[in-house]
Amino acid sequence: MSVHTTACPRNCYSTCAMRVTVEGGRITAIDPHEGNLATAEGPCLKGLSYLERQTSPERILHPLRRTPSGTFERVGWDEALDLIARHVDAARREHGPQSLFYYTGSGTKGLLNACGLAFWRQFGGCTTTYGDLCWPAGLEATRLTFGDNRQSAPWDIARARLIIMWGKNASETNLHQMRFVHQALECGAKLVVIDPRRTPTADRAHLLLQPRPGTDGALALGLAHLLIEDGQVDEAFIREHVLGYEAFAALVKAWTPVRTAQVCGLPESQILELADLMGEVTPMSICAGFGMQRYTNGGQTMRAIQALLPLTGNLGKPGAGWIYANLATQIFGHLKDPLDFYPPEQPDGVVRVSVSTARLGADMLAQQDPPLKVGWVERGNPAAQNPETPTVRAALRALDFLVVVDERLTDTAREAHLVLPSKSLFEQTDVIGAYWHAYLQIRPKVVEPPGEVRPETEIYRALGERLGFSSDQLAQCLPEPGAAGVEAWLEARLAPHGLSLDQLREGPVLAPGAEEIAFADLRFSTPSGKVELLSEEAADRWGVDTLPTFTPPLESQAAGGGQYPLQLLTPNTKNSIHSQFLPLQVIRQLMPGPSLEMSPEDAHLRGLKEGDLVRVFNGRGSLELPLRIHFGLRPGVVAAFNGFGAEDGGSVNLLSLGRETDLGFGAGFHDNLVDVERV
Amino acid sequence: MATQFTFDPNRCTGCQACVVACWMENRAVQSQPWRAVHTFNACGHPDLPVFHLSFACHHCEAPACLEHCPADAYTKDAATGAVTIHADRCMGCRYCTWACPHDAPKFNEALGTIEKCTLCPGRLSQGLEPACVARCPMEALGVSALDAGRILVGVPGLPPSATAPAIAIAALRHPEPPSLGHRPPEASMGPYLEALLRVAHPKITLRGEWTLLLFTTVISGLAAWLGASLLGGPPVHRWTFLVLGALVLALSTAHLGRPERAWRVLLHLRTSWLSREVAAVSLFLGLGILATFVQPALGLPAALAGFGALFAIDRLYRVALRTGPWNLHSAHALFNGLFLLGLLAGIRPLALVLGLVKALLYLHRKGHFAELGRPVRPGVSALRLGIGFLGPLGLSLTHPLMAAALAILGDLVDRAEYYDELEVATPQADLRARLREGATAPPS
Repeated sequence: MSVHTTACPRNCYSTCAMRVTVEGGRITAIDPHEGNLATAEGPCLKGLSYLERQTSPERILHPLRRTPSGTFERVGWDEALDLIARHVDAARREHGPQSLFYYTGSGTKGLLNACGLAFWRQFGGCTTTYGDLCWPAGLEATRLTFGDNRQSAPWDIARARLIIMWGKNASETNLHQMRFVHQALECGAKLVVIDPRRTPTADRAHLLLQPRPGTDGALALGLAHLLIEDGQVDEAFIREHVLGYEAFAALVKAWTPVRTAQVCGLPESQILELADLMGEVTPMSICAGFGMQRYTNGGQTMRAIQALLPLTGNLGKPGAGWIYANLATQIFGHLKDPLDFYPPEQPDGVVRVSVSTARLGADMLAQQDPPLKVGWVERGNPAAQNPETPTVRAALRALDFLVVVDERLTDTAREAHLVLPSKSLFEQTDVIGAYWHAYLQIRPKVVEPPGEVRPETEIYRALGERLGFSSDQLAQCLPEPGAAGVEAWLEARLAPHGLSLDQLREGPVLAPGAEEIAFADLRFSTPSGKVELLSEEAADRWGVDTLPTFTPPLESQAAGGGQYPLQLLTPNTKNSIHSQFLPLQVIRQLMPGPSLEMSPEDAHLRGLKEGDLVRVFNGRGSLELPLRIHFGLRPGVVAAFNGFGAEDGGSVNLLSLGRETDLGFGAGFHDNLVDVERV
Repeated sequence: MATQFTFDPNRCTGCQACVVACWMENRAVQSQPWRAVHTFNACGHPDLPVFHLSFACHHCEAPACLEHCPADAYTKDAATGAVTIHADRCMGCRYCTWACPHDAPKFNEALGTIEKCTLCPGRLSQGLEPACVARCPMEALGVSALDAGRILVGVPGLPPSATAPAIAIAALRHPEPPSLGHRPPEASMGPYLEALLRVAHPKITLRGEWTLLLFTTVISGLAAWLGASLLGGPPVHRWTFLVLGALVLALSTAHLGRPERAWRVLLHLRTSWLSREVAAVSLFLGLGILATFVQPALGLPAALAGFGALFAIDRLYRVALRTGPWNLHSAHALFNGLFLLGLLAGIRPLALVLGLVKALLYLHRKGHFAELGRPVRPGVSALRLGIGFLGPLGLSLTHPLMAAALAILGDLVDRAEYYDELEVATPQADLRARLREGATAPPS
């Protein structure tokens, strides 16, 4: 029996450290690792469920080729690699290397992920995506306002006296943060939640504001109006550290409580109550979630919310600040997010960065000179998780040949001509960062891959050999074969930062430069060196107003609605990370399937009963789901957890539209109006 | 050191890592989750908070499972306080799943025996916390030394019982819901609330317990017949007695998860009414057969044992949810037996009084369950009252056997409905009752 330090590499705030026990070559237990102070009490149920996931019958253990009838048949690695080599070589020869489309999602964190693009560079190039589904509008807003995406250590929120969970349901999506929130509450802090849903997080709050989706920016401007009117602003802080205060004050003049209440669909009294709290209670931390920046006005929304912190002087001190993303662990590349996923200003002629992640399907289909011929998808499930499932499917089907590397047959893998099995987090050593805390963590190889599973680096090596890569070319993009090669490759990347794998094996290590209190020196790396409520760059780069003005999302009730009266929210459940984990039995017993949540008012209006099978639809598609009534949901809003796919009746993205956010090349797929009827 | 669980609903986010942690530890022997997270007010009623409770076995100081187990399959560890089910001694009667108000014992269909939370004795002996506690990411679940002063009355999720569960549950910091800006109108909430408050998965159903229905009906019929024969009623047909008695014994044995261990049923006469019931029934059938085939003088002791068995039957159903303050109801086996006795022996006042009492109790019970939102079924009620009371009372003088047959038919309907209405106390039922109470209170 051996016990190893490891960490969960999923796209999740918490990125928990774990201790994994291995007996006889099998994982037998997963336990907390106290070395990560942010997650010291252990992972959530998903982390524990790796025990099943590791040996799940759903796992793909050898290459699979799709037959003409649409089923999959087992093929050997030689046959699979020959097939790929033949197709990619033909595409390169006939159309040029950029006819190969390389797509990656956020399925697994790790430094070795960089090998994929490096490989395709050696291949001669490829086409890939810019932007991101997740958080770019908020990252860019933060960069524009504060200069950099920095935040205080996770436990600092325990020192806050007022916590605003703005569009964040930490109880489900970042439950380890709730430990620190509870510590604050135990010391008498106040918690305010702003969310159209009455979430589990809201039920620990003193005050819940349920604005009309997409109007959070208006709410922030209305709060700023009251703070300024009531003289509850920190004048000294504003004088020293804020750019554009006067212009901003002039902007919010018009955002009276009456107007704000009307736009946001909130009682005026709640807006006044929250403004009073913000004016009177300090330190205040604002924790913003990712959902509200996935509207087409998301970037401006985030800028408006951020403004409340400098106005009240809640920056650079314990218990105060903006909690959105911590990029302290991004030390291995020359660019940090969000700039890292923008198209390069000077294209290098090798990798064509021309497909917007937000408009994946449409942009893939639109590529010319060359058009896309062969696709390679890793760590992602775009057929379920990207906006506009039908268009994404059409674009994948338009390819001559599609390779998908995954642990199981996802909706995307089912579109592939060839599916390759991917490693689990326990089968190849890697180093991972995080975006809520600042720990670098190792995720070591502790068991042999089952069946014929090979890590991606070895798949690429074998493919490179078939494509006639020289040993120098292979060395350029991949570690040397075997575990020793991987470790040497990782050590070479850690060494410049004074770090080693051995150190990480002991436990999580804070990234160099990790901060206890962000912006403690009150220096901001914006062009002006101040917090920029007025940003010229916002206007120059994105064509939005220099100020965080409010415009309703393009497709929203706030913009006048239209044919479809209900706003569809597609939040995350604690039971999965997007489309991962949901097939596991241990998860299914707790969450048997998808459903649609609706307010009693809307259900009553449509004569619907709890448990009815309903059709959620708009002009783009429809989805059939069992109905659940929730008395705490804002009327006019319906909610369905994302992550379910075709096996469960279809992805929520059958209803969404691919379009970009105002800032940062994010996906504005939360602009989504629907109606509901009984099936 | 006697141990208790501690639980803080302020910290619990309902993540269910504890459920998975328990599975991780016990997956080799666990056929279903031993721990469950119960959510109060999952529908988000605006007058009430939403919170979660993570419960497994509370390892009670006075465990009902142990007291009521007829097979003596439970023990309580003097040192740790852990209540343990010994599957090798369990005959799979499932009576503990009714008796435990905390819903801890689970029936393993594959093995035919009970399984439940063990308090992780292996971990405790190594100085480790139970798996669920060690892996709770929120520090909501804990263990500590048993606190005699812990609060057990009026705690959500702990149905009133004499079991003294070894769990200390912290009070909610804010017993009120968050301040909300919006309240759905009663007219739109009402119908949905009613639907949500209905029992979704009752533990006891007619479909699952039809053999018990047959058993109790036959025993009360045979006891009354034998008793009546001593009082001048129609003589007992000995082969009918033998065959029916053997049939219900066989059926109820087959009902066990492990029929080959049926002999264990007599091992816990000291505290288990199920043990006593089976002992009394066996005595009754044994003496009754001897009385009818060999020695008529044994008729009286046999009849007394029969009515004793009916008393025991009623006692063992007392673990189920009470209907009214005395838990009297029309489907009582003893009442059935006495009613039949009155009819068969031609003791009209007895039949009249019992019939009236049963009819009133029947109406009372229907009213009680109707209040709880159960289906009323007026047609069935008319049938039950018409065939089961009026019919026999009318026929009792002229055709006592026919009257008894109709009474039995009526009692079958009555008891069938009773099985469908029965509800044992569970944390879920307690939370549902609190939701009903809180949600219908006038808004503050």
